[in-house]
Amino acid sequence: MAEHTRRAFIRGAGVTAAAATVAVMVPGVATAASQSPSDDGSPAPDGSVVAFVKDAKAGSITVMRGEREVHITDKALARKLAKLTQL
Amino acid sequence: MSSHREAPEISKDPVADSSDLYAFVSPDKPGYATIIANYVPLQAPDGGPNFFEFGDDVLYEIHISNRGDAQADITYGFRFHTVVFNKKTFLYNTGQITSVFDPHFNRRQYYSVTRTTRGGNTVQLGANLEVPPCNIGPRSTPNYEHLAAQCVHGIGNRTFFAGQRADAFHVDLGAVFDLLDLRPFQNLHLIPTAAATGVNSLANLNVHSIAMRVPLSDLTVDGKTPTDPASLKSVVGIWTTASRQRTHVYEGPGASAQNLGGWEQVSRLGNPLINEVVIPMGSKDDWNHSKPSNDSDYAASFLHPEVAGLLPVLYPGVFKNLAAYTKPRADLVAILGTGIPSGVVPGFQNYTGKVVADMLRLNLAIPATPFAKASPAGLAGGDPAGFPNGRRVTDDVVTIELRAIAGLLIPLVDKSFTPDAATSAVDDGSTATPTQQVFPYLNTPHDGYSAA
Repeated sequence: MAEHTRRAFIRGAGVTAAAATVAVMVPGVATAASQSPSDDGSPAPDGSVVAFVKDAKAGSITVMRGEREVHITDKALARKLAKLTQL
Repeated sequence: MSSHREAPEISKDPVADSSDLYAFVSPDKPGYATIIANYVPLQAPDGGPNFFEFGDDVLYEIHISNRGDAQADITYGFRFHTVVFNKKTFLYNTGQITSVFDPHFNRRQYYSVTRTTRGGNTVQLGANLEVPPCNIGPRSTPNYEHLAAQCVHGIGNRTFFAGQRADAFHVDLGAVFDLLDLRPFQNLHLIPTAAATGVNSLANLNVHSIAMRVPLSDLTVDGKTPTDPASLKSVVGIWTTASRQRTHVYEGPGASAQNLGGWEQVSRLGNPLINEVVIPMGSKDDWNHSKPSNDSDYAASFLHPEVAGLLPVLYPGVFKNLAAYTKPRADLVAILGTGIPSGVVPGFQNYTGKVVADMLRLNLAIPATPFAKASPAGLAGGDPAGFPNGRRVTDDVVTIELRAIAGLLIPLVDKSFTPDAATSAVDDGSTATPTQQVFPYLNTPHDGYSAA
């Protein structure tokens, strides 16, 4: 609970100790449950990645990391990703 | 409103909502221009405990086009970040804020500013620049002017300010959006009531402003201070945008949401009221995502504006000449879409080329009019330093555009037309909010305590 004193609220009060806490966003870490046969085993870049499969049939995928975006067409990958969410 | 909540999508995202843009040659500092971009509109001053602020996840930009093709030649970018010093209190301030460095100022914002030239060369002009707190009340922010003054940052020959101000835009929202009622003339409305005095719906509301004052040479195509009002090199087109990263991922308790992907423009603003009342409902969101250079897609809305068709219907018998005028509105395209070329208004031009684009056009070689002599009617009031030559904080853009749409300026391009007698008197009746005569020109924000 925050500590407040009457003194802290009036003009000219002494400096109140305040921890300088800066909010830091900690990127999530993706963990691979299995290694794909096509995985070359090289280390993955740090940070979260979002893949937006706009049209699985067309293989249209946008991969986003940080402020970067890459658009690819990969029907097999798009189909694989889409199937992961199939009921 | 000028562009407050003007489209369905952005009305749900006020932090990214561009609401007004001002651009003018600085009356108090010759050789400089001031540009003010407002966001986060319609702030109730007492809106605590989480008072209004810029978005850490929004890219705010001011674009300058100086080559006549409505593309951005210079872009000033602004990014904010928030620091909470004491996370164990709900208080915005844990005591009086007597300085922006006061430890009682608990939730603070800072920003960086960059300048990018066409082709992608980006220079960071400043970083970690302080933003003042919101104006809370006499106990929390007893000397607000001092706090704001601490946040006027001189960086070389440029000056920047970002923070809360009083909204200077004035309009009678309650009436205008009640079937285009104008209280002083509502006795003539299709659904009449007794004429009344107009109301300034924004009189007690605040906004967040990004203001910058830069040398005129910072904006021109040749990097020189323009001196010839007739030269096309003297005219720049200006617009603002706000952009968000393409995805926002909530990860649940204990993890900050993540934003990933490229920047997608979600709001833009050039001339006042364009997306508000010119662009139709079905196109408003697309408009906010599009670029001015593609505004020919919306040309039909300029050539045949809906309001011009509504006025004769809602005010029967008042706008007979306007009702009979069926030609495309070349006057509005010139004023709002291309700028006014030489030869239309004697001694004046703010033409940026044939590309139809919603940009606020400013002829930098036209000297500022002293504050005391500035006409709120701008160019139509014989004052070439005012709207639509840029826009000053005191320009009455609602009246100017209302009269223009009603046909007041058609004779500039079509001498066969005679405006209706009422056109030069049309007014929403709202009165101006006070402004100040020094940077950042918008007044001290209304404080929350007094607003109660």
